[in-house]
Amino acid sequence: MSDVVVVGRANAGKTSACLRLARALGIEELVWMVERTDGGRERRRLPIREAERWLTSGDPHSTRSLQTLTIPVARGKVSRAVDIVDSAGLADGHVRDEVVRRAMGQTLRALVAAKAVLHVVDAADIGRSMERREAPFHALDEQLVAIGRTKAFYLVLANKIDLPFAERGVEWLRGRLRDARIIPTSAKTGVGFDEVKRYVWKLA
Amino acid sequence: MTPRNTGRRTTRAVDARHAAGVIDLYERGHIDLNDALARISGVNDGTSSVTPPMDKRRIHELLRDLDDLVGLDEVKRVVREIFALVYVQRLRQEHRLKADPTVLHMIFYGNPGTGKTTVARILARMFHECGLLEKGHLVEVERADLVGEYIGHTAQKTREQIQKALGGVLFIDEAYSLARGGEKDFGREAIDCLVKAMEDHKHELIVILAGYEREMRWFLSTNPGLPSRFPIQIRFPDYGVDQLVQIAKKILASREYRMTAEAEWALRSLLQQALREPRLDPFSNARFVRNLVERAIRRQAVRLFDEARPKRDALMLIEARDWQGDEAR
Repeated sequence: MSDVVVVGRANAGKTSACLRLARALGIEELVWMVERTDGGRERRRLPIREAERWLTSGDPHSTRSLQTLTIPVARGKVSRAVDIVDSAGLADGHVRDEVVRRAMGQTLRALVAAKAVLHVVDAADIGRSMERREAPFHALDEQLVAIGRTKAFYLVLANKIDLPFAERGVEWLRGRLRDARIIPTSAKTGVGFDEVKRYVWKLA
Repeated sequence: MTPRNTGRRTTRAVDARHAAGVIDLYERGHIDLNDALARISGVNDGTSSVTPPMDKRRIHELLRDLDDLVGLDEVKRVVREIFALVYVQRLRQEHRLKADPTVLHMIFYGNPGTGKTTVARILARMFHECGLLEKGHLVEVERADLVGEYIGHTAQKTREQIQKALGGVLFIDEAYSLARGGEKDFGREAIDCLVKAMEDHKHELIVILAGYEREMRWFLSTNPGLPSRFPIQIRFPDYGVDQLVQIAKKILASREYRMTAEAEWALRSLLQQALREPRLDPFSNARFVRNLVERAIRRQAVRLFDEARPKRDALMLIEARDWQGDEAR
């Protein structure tokens, strides 16, 4: 069972958030396990700067397998590890690409099994939708919230706070998800990750 | 690791076994992600679709099954037309274009053994593949299955059959017999019950009425509301001698038999004679051929029984004498 699973819609910034969290925890070299949809596993090691270049992308569905980052967390005199699972982004509708569909199935499995959920939401997207008078919250996010709430630990990262309209999105999220903990973050600038880090520490 | 509760109340936990089943369905492409998440979380957002995506490969396989049937060119053309329409309507829905719900209740006109039930079965499976019917099974009924013996019995019997057919096709053979008994007959009640069910279960049931053309035309004229409810009407013509021989060859081949040239000639003359001779009941087409084949196979068995060790070839061969003296109907 994984400790923390990072979920969200495609292109919400899950991988960037994972890397930013690793950086906030003071990690220079990343060790991560890639679980491919065909069942294969690979262990990779990469400096964090390199990882940012390789793993993140502006296009949706760039993460197509579960990537488990094992993050050592110093707690008192002992050091423990937290496994953070970066998952494939979720997109609705009929996904014709079977590899993407399997990757999403893998995400769902990790989501069901995980003890803790970090739900990454694109706050700027919510703000923009409100500007256009469209439905701000996507049905997928709605259901992720419902599943997240069944977990002992559930945190919403209102991401992309550095973009226009994001403030408005955060406001709306706070009103909508009153009993959930919401942290405005920017995986790009690093805003908010100190607070996320404190929560992850609690899990170690 | 000890997970800490952040002070927030947790709700009902996700059922892992149920979730595994749902994820499996999703990965195989039977449900979309919205639906999968709704089933796992137990939250229905009201927008999730339950219609599975169409598998065009399966539809082509079923069309091939249809093409394999001997003759029926007109039927095949109409069926392809229906499917193109259903397919395109589904694609339009996916692209959020207006897609008018298609009424797919049908009437099949034709004599016995002309392939009505076979085509109905293929249609049911095809509608299932297109996501129109949940199960895609065929429930074949006739008057006796629908009409009861006392007041209230008919509605109960008809409803039972409709319940059985939900998610599939209700195929009513010799449907005209429902109107045969006159004004006081319970058959009328069955028709009313059926019409109501077609309204109530619009999206869960397709009804096919089948029967001889003349009787069916009379039946439709007895109830003016009926024809408009069955917009698709397909005519199944009688088979000619060539087609009947072809059917016989197919049945034989599927059972690993074949006939000699003489046997084929004998069969042909037998069929010509059968088509010529006057009869009270309509000619039973493919069913007649099937019965002929069954009998020929039995005769061949009797013939080979007396041989010491028949060869493999002999075990497969139907000879002219195996058809002889046959009076199958």
